[in-house]
Amino acid sequence: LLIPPVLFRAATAAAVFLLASCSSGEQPADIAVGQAWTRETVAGQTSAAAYFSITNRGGRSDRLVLVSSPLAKAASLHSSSSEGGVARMRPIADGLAIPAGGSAEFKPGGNHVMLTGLSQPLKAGTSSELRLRFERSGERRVELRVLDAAASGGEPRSHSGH
Amino acid sequence: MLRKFRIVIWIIVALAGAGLAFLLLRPASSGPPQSQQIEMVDFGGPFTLTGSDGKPFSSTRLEGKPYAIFFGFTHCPDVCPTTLARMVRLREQLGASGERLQILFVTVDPERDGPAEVGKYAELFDATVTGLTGSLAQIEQVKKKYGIFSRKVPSEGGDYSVDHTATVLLFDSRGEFTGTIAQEEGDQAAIAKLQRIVA
Repeated sequence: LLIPPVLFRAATAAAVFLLASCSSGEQPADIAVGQAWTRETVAGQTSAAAYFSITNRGGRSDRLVLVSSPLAKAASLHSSSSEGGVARMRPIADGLAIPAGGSAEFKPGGNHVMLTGLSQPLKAGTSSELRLRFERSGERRVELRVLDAAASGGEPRSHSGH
Repeated sequence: MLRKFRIVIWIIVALAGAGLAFLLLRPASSGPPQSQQIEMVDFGGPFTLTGSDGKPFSSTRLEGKPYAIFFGFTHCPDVCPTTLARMVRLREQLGASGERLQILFVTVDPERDGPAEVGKYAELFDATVTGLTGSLAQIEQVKKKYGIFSRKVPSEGGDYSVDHTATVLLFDSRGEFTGTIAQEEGDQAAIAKLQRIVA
């Protein structure tokens, strides 16, 4: 089988071009944050935990470095863990990496955003905003819904207004 | 001389006898009780704490009722509300028989959690979650009875958090300790344990 030289050269060029375009430069991080929720609080409670999920469909890892919300004076990344039945809560230092093509789950009993210095008790059925700053992707703003305190991560129960 | 020798002989005989007795008696006295101790860790017992109304709450009020007791603190934003919300949800899943189940929340942070704080906090979850506090000494005593560990951990801004046992302890209507519900335990296993005490 004889391939005309012109066609052969064209095919080679096309192959080289395809290979080059595949490997040239990584795709940027592509960060999406799902809707966030927290629980209602009563007067006297100064903090609340916020939960959400982050997915990175991009080709580069990114890092969640800063969180804030108009509801609280400060917000920080925390992690709860349990050892021998003893629950511990510790700050997550230096932010949280979201690997390329990966995700991070902020859920009850695990990683969460701790909202401290609540300006007022959080009421079920209301909503506010959670701002998340990523090292590469910049800021994402998502709705932060206040759910009935009996809501749990896996099966959030219906709350007032529904 | 002979007398001295006789005394030495008697001392040797006495020591040998004591040694033999020790060897013979040791397995009998330390063997079974050791394994019994492991099987029969007995939590609970009578206590008096302070209710959300500021009045003494005696454990005699629990007589004849199955109950689940959980220790935490109201400034705990994650594990405590998650556990209490879960207990309330599990109790609902028990149906009518679940109505007998008392859920108690005892603070391990009585310095910040007075009667009003534990009361309001408990109401967040359900009217039938009973919030309890007490003096430092009372709380220490109850923690000891229920095998609860807690330790203050300083956090930013001069604030503090509390590491604490987050296992729920279960008691039947006779006040007998029947088991625990761990945080990581599945709902199915937890429901089965609750069904046993409310039946």
